[in-house]
Amino acid sequence: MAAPRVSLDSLPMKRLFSLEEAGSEHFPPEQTQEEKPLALLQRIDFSRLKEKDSKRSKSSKDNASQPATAWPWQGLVEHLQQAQQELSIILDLISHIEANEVMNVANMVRPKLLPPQELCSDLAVRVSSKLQHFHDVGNYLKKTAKALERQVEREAVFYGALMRLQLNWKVKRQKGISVVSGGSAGFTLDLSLPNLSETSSASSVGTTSLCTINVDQDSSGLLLVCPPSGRSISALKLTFGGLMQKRLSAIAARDLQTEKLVATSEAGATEIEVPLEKGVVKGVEKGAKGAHSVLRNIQAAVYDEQVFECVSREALLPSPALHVIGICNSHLQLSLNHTASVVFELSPNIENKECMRADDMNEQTSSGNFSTTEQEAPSKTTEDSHQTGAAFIACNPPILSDLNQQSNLRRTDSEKFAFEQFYPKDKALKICLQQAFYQNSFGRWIIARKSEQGNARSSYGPSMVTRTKEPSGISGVGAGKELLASSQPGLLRNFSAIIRHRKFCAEVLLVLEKQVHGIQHLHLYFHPTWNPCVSAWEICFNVPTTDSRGWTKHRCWSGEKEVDVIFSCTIVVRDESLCVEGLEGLLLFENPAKEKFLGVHSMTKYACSQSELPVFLLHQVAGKVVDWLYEEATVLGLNVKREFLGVILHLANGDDIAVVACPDVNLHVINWWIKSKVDLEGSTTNEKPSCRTIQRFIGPKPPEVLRSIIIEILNSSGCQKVINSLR
Amino acid sequence: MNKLGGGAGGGGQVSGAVGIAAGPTASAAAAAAQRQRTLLQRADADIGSLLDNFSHLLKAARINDSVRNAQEGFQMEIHAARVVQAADSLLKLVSELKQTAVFSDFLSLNEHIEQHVTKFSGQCDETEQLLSSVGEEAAVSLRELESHYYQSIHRS
Repeated sequence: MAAPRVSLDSLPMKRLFSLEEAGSEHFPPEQTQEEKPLALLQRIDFSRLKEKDSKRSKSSKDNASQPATAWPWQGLVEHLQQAQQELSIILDLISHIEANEVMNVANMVRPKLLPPQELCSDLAVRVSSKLQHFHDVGNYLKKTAKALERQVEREAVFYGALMRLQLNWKVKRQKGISVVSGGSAGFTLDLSLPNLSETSSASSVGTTSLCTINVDQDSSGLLLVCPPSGRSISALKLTFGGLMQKRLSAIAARDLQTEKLVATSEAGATEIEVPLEKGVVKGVEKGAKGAHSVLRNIQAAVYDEQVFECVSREALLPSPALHVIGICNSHLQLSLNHTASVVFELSPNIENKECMRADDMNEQTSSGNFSTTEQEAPSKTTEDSHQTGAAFIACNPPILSDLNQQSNLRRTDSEKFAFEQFYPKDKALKICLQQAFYQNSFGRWIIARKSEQGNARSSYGPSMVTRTKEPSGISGVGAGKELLASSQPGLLRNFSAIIRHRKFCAEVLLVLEKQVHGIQHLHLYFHPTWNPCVSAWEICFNVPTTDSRGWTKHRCWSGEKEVDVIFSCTIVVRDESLCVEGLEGLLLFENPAKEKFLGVHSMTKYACSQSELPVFLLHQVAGKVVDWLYEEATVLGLNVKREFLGVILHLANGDDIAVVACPDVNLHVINWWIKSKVDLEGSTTNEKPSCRTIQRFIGPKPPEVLRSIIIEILNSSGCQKVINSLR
Repeated sequence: MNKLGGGAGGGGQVSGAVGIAAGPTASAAAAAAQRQRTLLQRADADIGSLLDNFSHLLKAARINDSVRNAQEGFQMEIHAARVVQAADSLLKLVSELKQTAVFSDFLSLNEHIEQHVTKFSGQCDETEQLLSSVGEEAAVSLRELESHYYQSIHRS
């Protein structure tokens, strides 16, 4: 292909576009920069190429004799290719010119200076661009200033709450973790009790994990405290080994737990719903309060777990009064000296309690994890374990549970009464156990600290627990003094001693109440001892004051009414031993059941068993009433003889009338008989074989009625009349 | 506190290098002084950087030709970023100081603990007195109720 020729205008003159008749010439409009290359392109002569192409096409048509169906854009493509070639030539030319290889630039005109108005506008443009830059920088600084303000506010909220927390909790900083909003703040709270550090090896992993609480910070800087994931906050529960009590306490605990859940959910809801106020103070208060409440709950759970661990450790030590019946991770069942059984339980959620226990039982029976120890004990132990075992099994299959429920519902009232009588409240016992654990753990520290402070200031009084306030009427009650103090080791032993004492006291009290209910004028007064293992009751037998009284009178506190106390004593229970104190002349029998009177002894104390107590009291009261009748008859001028539980009245007509007491231990009453030996012929002489014994049962009568009977005998001077009148 | 402890080790080395007789207290004091110097230097550096960059920003307000203006625009952005960085560094310094205040103010902490102990001891005594008075009142009331019960006609 031949190279096209390029022709440049030698005289670049403006060509005329049109000429009017008047002679005015019109020139074509000025070409813009974009139009110039086009004009140049138009000026390229393609005529020769056209001719060549036409010739080539003709020859090809002739030669090939093919149909002339050419592509319509073929020409355009070729033109463009040619234009590209020409452009490359032009560019080469320009580059040569610029390189000064061929041509030299002879002269170049300097650009013209701008006019003043254009100079001003240029300055304005530069000023405005500078102003725009400053605007941008200003906006950037404002944005970052707001972000920094928010950061300052977040830190103020977080550190304010943290400083408040530090006043009450042990805050630790984690190494290498920086404070990040919306995540971990790099701080932990140590909730471990001070004594745990000494026995850290004994404390369980679970408790240790619960002791370290991470402090988080949300996006608004609010301090958040969350318990470790996967750990539930549990609480200690005490249940006695009966199903009835278990149900009662379960219902009460469920109510309590529900209340707690509602409270926590409400608290959580408020925590979630209420957004952080803008005020820093409110954020600080909110974060500190929320953290405080959560931490208190966790610390209570830690404390309960420690109590449970301590109880479990002590339960596994060999002890004659304690037997482990069942034990697993969160349950411990103990038999307390074969008289009571108690279940310690760490329950995270009361609603799942039954299911959990059933599951636990299934797991333990399958895996053998749950160990049930067979007691080498008398038959009472087996009964006990059967009872408690029934309590466990009753929770396991639903059918058994229903059957037990039906059978137990019939005995609900009596069992409830019995449980309320014999067992103290589980909440009270829990408080007692926690307090005992506290004394065991911190007692030495507290005592040491108080002694230090006492030396310094001597302003503190004695501790509530170590104090033993004894009533003046009871001597030697201090056997259980400072039972809960740290001087005596064995938290569980003390606790079981308290429970056994309470149960024994309840049984003794039941006997005393029956006794008081059976005998009129016999009064029972509780005597506070302020000692958990010493209890005392005072029993008075009062008779309303008569005008003619001739014996030593005691004053008994009985309101404004003056009464004569003819019998009084104090029943003291120390641990599980019973003692009757404060007696004034003890009536001695060989055996109360045999009713062989041995005389009056001056001893004031008498130790007896629980079964002997009603017999002893009935005989003592009966003897004192007989004494009272003897004195009364003497004052009335009768010839009286004191016999065993009775008085014999020698009447003027020779008759002998005996008023005899007959205590009925089963009914807890003192029955009275009037006996007389009457001659068949009308004379009452004992020597004669023809006499016969007349006796009348007059039942339980109060002393004043007996006294009136004696007066009636005196007035009538004939026993037959009296006996007839009594019929 | 931990930083202080970490610094104490370094301080110990320093003090060990300085003198053998220096004990742990002296090394801790040296570490604390070193830390204080470091904090002051950081504060000075940050404040100096902030002032320098701000002055550069102000200097860039001069209007030059368009090319120079464009260059200065970029420089202004850089200076503004440095100002922000210095402010952020200062805030971090304040945060560290707060942490130090939280964890190292043992004097006020101990005072507060003493106050708490005194307060709780007082509450303990008050509670004990309250409990004893409640117990005694309960005992008196029980005695009265018992006597009323035994005097009442419903008893028999």
